[in-house]
Amino acid sequence: VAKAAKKKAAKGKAAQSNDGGAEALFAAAMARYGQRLDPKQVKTLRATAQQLGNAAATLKSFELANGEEPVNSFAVIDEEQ
Amino acid sequence: VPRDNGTGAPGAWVPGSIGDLASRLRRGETSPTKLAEAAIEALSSKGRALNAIVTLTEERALRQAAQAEAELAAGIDRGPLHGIPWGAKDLLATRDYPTTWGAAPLRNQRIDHDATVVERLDQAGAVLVAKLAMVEFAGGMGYDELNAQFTGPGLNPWSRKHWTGGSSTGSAAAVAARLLPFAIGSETFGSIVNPAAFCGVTGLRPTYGRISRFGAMALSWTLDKLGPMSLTAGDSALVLAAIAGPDPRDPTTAQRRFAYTPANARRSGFRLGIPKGWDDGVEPEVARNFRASVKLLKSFATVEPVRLPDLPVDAAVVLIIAAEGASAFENIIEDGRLAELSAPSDRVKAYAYAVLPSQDYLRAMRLRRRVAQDMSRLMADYDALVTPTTLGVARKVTARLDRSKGSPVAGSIGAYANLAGLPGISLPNGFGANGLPSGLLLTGGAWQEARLIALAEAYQQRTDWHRATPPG
Repeated sequence: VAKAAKKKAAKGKAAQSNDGGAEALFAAAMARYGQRLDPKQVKTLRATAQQLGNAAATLKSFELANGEEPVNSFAVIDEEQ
Repeated sequence: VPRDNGTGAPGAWVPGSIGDLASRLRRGETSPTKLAEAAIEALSSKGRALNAIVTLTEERALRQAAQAEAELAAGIDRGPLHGIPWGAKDLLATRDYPTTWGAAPLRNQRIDHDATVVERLDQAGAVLVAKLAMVEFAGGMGYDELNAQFTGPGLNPWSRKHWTGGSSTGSAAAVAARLLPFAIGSETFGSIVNPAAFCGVTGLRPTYGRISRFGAMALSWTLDKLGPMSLTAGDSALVLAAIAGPDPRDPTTAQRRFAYTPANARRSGFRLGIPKGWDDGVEPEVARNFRASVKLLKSFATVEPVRLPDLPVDAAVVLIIAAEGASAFENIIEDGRLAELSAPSDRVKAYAYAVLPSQDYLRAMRLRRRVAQDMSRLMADYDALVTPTTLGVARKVTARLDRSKGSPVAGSIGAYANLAGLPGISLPNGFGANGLPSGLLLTGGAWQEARLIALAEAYQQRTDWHRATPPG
């Protein structure tokens, strides 16, 4: 069973790397909100997850160095200033 | 019998530019009250027919107009916007009227303060006459259908079968139809310049941090900008001067002042870049209009091809808006009010946005620093990059947005500019399919709005596209 789970996890990881995590995103959204959606809406949700996955995959293929920080850097707030 | 149109003669209400109206006011040919009454009447009939109006702010307008009238009579002159009617995209908070964000579930939302932009226009003596229609949540829920606002789809004054563009639908329509001399719109990714192009008006997207967002609906804190939509570039400078500047209630506002003096503005010698591949995916008529614009620009500017940085900007902007929007509207997503939205796609997509991994968002924000740096280097050599504003003219209101296609260069310039926080101005530059307007987009370096406006004025001094008036 452990071997099968490991195999499944590896397969999932490979799928994620190929689809930018679209399937995982779809599954997470379904787990959280799926009961609110009808079949047509589920189809829209899947397409949206795919679009986000594609975007994520595109970005993942672009290498960023360790020191490249996000633009929204934290700044200390000093009320006395 | 037609009512007085505010200009001293009966007939249709056709406001000129802010400068024209300001001159008429000071010559005593009209009054702030006449202007406000005429604008309200036009908005309540033609504006509503275009689905451009959420709320007419008549009581407030007449009170402000009376005050402006008394002040001008007493020799107190607050400047060129004094007594001029205007409209606010309905994501700007006003304490005495609902602020709906274009969304049916919030049609009765009350906010207990005025947005900074509203306050500043009050201080300039401008008269707020309407809260204007917009795509629900400024498009942040990812709408595919163009009927994505509870007031009905934004109808283009040039053809009511066609869309205004979004998300500043009512702002663009009201100015284009000559119902208002100016309106305030907002842009996260295209929401000022695109409807400006589709409706044939001048739309200015300022540098991020130029104008306070306090009291404006947040969709994406790091991308949202407010800006003027008006008939001319000169008018956009007048409005920008009134609303720009630091605001302690919006910590992203820069300690910078905006000033523009037309008499001192440069009128030639501009250096412009045209991104390679600009015509990829562009409709033939829009490409033709762009080539004609470039030919004209060459009479007072040097124009050369440039290469945009090769970065995955479209992917980055999609992920940033999805992640920030899901956070900004978390309560609406969680409590199920999405189901009450107008566009079927808006009732679903944000459920995917809400579970987007933080890693994907952060990767986009890390890439964004590279985008900003590369664009800053590129813009150091140019006064503006020049492209068509949109790939085509307005679509039919029954059409759907197709987000599956990649964005060609003329589309990607919006992603580069918005990610880097750069200003842009869209100018009418002709007509394409179905007699619908097209736009010329000038994208400038950070804080270079004055330079962009000077260039835009130089273009508009040589063209009449901004004077074209829709039928009816």
